[in-house]
Amino acid sequence: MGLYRIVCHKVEDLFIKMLTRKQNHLEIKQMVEAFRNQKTIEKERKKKESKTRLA
Amino acid sequence: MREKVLFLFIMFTLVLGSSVDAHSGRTDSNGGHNCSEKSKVKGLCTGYHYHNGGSSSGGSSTGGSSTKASSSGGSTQTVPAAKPAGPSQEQIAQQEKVKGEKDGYAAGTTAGYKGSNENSSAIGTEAYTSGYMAGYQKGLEEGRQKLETEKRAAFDSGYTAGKNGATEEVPIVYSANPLVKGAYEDGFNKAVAEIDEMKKREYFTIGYEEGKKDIINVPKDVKDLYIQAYEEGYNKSQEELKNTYSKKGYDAALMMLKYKEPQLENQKFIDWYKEGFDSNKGVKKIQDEAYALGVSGKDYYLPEKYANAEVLFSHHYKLGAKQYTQNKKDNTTKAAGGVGVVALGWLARRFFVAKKTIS
Repeated sequence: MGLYRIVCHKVEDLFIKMLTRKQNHLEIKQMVEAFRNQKTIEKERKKKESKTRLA
Repeated sequence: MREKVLFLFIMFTLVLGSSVDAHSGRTDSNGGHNCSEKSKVKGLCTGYHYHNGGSSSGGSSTGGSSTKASSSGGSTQTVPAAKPAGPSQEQIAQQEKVKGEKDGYAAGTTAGYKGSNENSSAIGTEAYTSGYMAGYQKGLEEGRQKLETEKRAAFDSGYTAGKNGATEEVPIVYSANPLVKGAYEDGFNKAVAEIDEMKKREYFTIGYEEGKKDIINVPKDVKDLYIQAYEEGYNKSQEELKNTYSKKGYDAALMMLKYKEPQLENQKFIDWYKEGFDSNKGVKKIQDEAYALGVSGKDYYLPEKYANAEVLFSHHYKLGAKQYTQNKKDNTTKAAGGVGVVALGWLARRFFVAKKTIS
């Protein structure tokens, strides 16, 4: 799954780069990382919640 | 002396005279016999009579020695006229039997010649009946033999006449007896039947040969029987001809992918050929099997039972094989299309996520 996520992120990076050609790359990069971290945290939380519910 | 001699002469003459009155014929054990015709004419006697004291049982005697007195010096003994002599019972029976035989023979001959099998009966004394039956049997056999001989002669004559093409009219000589007449007609009919049979074979052969050449010349002014034989021969060879061309067409259907008209001058033969071609229902089965083999993708092999239909089988196998390749190609394309759609969907998802990330 890790590899799949890496591939997905690479492809998404290409689309982002294409869509934000005239914008600040650094800023965009931070936005992307923040978005992905948030998603990861949400995912882990959902995971924990489901585990608790099962327990 | 002279007188003595004269006396002796007279006496001798008298003795001889009485002897002349006697008549010829031997006597039976009774010392008597029947008067012969000569004696009757001479008036010497009339019926059965006795001589020399033979034992009389009452036989009749009129003139002759019987009537002469025994005292006349003759050797004949007189039989009283009131007791007439006659044949014995045996002789009468013998005479009756002879008469019966004669009558029976005549009746038997007639019956035998007429072909009658019936036994005859006679009315009369036992001797007559016995003689009649014996004579009848003899006559019957002879009559039958005569009939058979005449029948054979009549049959042969009729047969010869029939062979020579004479009219059926029975000659007078064979017309008297219906059986003989029938024999003549039988012989005649036999000869005619033989000629007819021979002619029928001839006309059958002619019809057969002409039928083979597909020429028809029905004979004219001949018996219907011969025309029929000709037609039978013609139809037979036509049937054979039809079978031949039909078989050719049938076989051609196995070797030909599409009907091709044969190079024949006669349209009838072409039609028969086509009929045979169309009648081959096995072609469809061969086509289906070959096609199925090709479509399955298996290697080509010709089943032994279709050895004579290799062209047809091979062709339809190729069609099947072609279909197999096409199917394979179609499947690949479909699979590739499916992968493309999935990939496109994935890219679209990635694009959507990227847009969401920067928004």
